[in-house]
Amino acid sequence: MTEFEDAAELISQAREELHRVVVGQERMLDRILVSLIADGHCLLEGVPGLGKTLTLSTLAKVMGGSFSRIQFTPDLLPSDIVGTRLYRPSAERFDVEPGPILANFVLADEINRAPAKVQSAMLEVMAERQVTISDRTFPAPQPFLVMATQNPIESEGVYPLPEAQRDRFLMRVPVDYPTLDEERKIIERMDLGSNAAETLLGPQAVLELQRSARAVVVPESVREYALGLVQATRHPLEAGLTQLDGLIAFGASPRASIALIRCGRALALVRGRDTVSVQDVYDVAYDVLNHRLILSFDAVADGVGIDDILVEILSRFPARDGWLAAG
Amino acid sequence: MTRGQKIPTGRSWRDLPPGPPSRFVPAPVAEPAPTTAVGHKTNPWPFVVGAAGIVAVGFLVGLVLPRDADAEPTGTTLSLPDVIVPPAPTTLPTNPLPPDLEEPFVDELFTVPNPPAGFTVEFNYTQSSSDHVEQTAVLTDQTIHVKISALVTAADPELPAGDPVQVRGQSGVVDATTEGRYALSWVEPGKILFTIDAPEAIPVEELVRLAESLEVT
Repeated sequence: MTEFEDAAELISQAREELHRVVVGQERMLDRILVSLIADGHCLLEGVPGLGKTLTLSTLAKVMGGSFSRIQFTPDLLPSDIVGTRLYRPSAERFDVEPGPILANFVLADEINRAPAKVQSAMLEVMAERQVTISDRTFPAPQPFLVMATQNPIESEGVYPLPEAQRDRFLMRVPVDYPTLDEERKIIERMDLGSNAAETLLGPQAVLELQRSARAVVVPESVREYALGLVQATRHPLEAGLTQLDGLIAFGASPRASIALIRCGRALALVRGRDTVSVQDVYDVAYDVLNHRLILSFDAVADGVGIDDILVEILSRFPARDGWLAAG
Repeated sequence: MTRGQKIPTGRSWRDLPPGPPSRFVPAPVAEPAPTTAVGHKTNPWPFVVGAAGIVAVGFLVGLVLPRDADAEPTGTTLSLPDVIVPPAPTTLPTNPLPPDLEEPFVDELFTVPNPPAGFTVEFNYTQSSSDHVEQTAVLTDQTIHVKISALVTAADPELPAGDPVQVRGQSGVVDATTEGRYALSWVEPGKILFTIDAPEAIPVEELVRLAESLEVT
């Protein structure tokens, strides 16, 4: 077996272990694994009760390493996340007490329940993977992954995430209701008692998977497709999408182009391939782009949503990847 | 579309197609918006003329007709006409088409249920005589033209010369036709000679895949 097939086998085993606890939700699990392998942070968004928190805590258990959970509340302080300086009377000096953010897997539960000043405390660690407390800087452990959940339907006691922080998430994954069969299975499992997942990998194995993903080849045509998608969000007229003229105030940033390629590589690895295809990039494009666009006033006034814009772009922007390949 | 024309709303990631298109898909042209915007001035004259017409008809009905009714002698009984339903036809209606017109050929020889993404399919039917029927389908991309033809004749169809290949469980051949193009031919059980003519850039395996996807009726 090649390195890539070995990696795919390992990922498949991890997925099976996740399924001991999580029923169905294949799309969400795909995206979470892609996010982990692409070394990026992941934001799960869905109504309460869909198993977001359970999935992320189970993933941390299966992947091994240190895990901390931060329950975001309106009275949370930045020092509750990154850490603070404490005065030790016995030693007559200040010591630094690192916060729970310095763990391999950080579950930021209900992240939109904390105000903007707390969210700002996450910016440095999410982008630069380090925390600065007073005059000291602490690197985050490797691998480092922030997995956040948020509930999109509540308006009381929640704060929208700042754009700068949203952009730091590699993917924002919508979580859907389970199917009828899946829900039946959930109830059956509930009657039988809860399953517990075992630790299959460790931090070193996760780093190896991330290294394998970086070795996946990206053909020029795939790179051009990813760049074209991001450009289409900034200049829809030049991409021929005249119907989107004036609807997007700010398109996706260069971080989105990087994220598309990284996620495409990771998905190719999950699928056991050593080369990214256009289909890989297409499959992750919605989750990579949907939190990076800012709508214009015209769009909001017309009731046009981000999803409407992305469906329009992804279903019309062409990919040249062989003759019958796309069929 | 231009700015101001709406795109469909209320969609989500579930509405995404399974894969990206292989060519640009233009947005459908929207109907012009109705001109009932706030502040739009409407020409009043058609309404004035219409209202005047209604008044004139009312005048006739209210004044002229009652005067005619008064002229009728009293004591007479009005009656409905005896026949209000035309008699049923005694013969079946005949075909309105003149007998010398040729009936259109409607029996499809084949369909292309799953054309490659981004390709448009144009069908054509010809029937030069009762024992010679041909149906063609042209798959067109911006640069690629693939022609599929199916021919039925009274004589038994013969395969042209070429390299043997297996298509849809039948014996077929592959042979160059013109410069840069080649053809894949095979005979279906109904004595239908099929030919797919395509550029050499498309591998034979792709043509065989296309042939396998055809539905022969």
